[in-house]
Amino acid sequence: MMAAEEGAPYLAEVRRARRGDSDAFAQLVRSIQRPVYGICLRLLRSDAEAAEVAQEAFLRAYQNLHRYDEARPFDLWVMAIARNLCLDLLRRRSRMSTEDVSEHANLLPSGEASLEQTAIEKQERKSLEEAMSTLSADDREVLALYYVQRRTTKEIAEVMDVAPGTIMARLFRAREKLRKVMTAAAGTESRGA
Amino acid sequence: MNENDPKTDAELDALLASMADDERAELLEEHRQLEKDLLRLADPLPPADFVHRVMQKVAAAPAPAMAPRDVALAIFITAATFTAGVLLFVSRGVGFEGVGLSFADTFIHVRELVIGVGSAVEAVWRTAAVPVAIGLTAMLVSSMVALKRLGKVAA
Repeated sequence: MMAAEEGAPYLAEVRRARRGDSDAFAQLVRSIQRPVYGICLRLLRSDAEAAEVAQEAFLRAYQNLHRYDEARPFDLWVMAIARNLCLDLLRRRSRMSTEDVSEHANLLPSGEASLEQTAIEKQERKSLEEAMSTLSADDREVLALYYVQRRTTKEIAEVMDVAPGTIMARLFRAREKLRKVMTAAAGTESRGA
Repeated sequence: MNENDPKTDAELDALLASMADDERAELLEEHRQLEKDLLRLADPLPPADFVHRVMQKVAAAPAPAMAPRDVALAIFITAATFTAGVLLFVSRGVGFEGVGLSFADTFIHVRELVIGVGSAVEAVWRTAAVPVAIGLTAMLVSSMVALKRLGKVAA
């Protein structure tokens, strides 16, 4: 899995990949594909586009390996590339994807054992995913990086290219928007019942 | 930072401080509950053939030996060196037509200089080989250490 050299994960694989070892690069892709694809899916809300953009991000990372600064964590570097590609795509989009986000909600697994999950818990998670999907790309991104990927504020700041001191405030603001969306949804459901 | 950027932590603290105690406590409790729910989410798995597809693209588009910016820089440095050389000859009053002759003359002088320096180095080596070897080794090692440190600072 991760090769720790001089305290930096993935560095051994990166150096081997730089020397033309494609197996080493494949190992890197296997190691970080999930967070990279995850952030693309959160931003783009489309399976096909997320997979395509994440693949493109890895390709660009491979083509620019000689520019990679070993002082930075490799996974964050690739995620920053993927994020920029996603934002470019979002800017180019004339309209948002019409794909039903609830499909993703069903696909998103919990960190706990799925066999023990109750139908209520699944419904709650689905509701949460649906509420998250109504937020802006920035809000979705900061929530996903902090709570889903458990990144530190420093790492999030590096990926999002913002000052670390603003991350907790961004999180609070995103949570507050999410809370309002969920409160409104709960109100609608209770009136309908 | 634009006007849509969120407040800093200090401003957020000030905002919370401006709320009534029970109002703030209720809000923070709701946020805590929301955080618990958010922490139970996980990233989805990418398609099963994801790695295979990436490696297919990598194989189809091998990494370039040099980045376009590096190529442009190399071309610029070569062109600038050539231009500076020509201008140097011309500034000595040689004229464009005499650049070739002047270059050949300079080459001969440089050759003499190289031969002279080589003889000097040989003479020094014959009289004090060990101190010279130690001195050169020390210089090489210290240069490499300094370059490595510079590299780390630059990174």
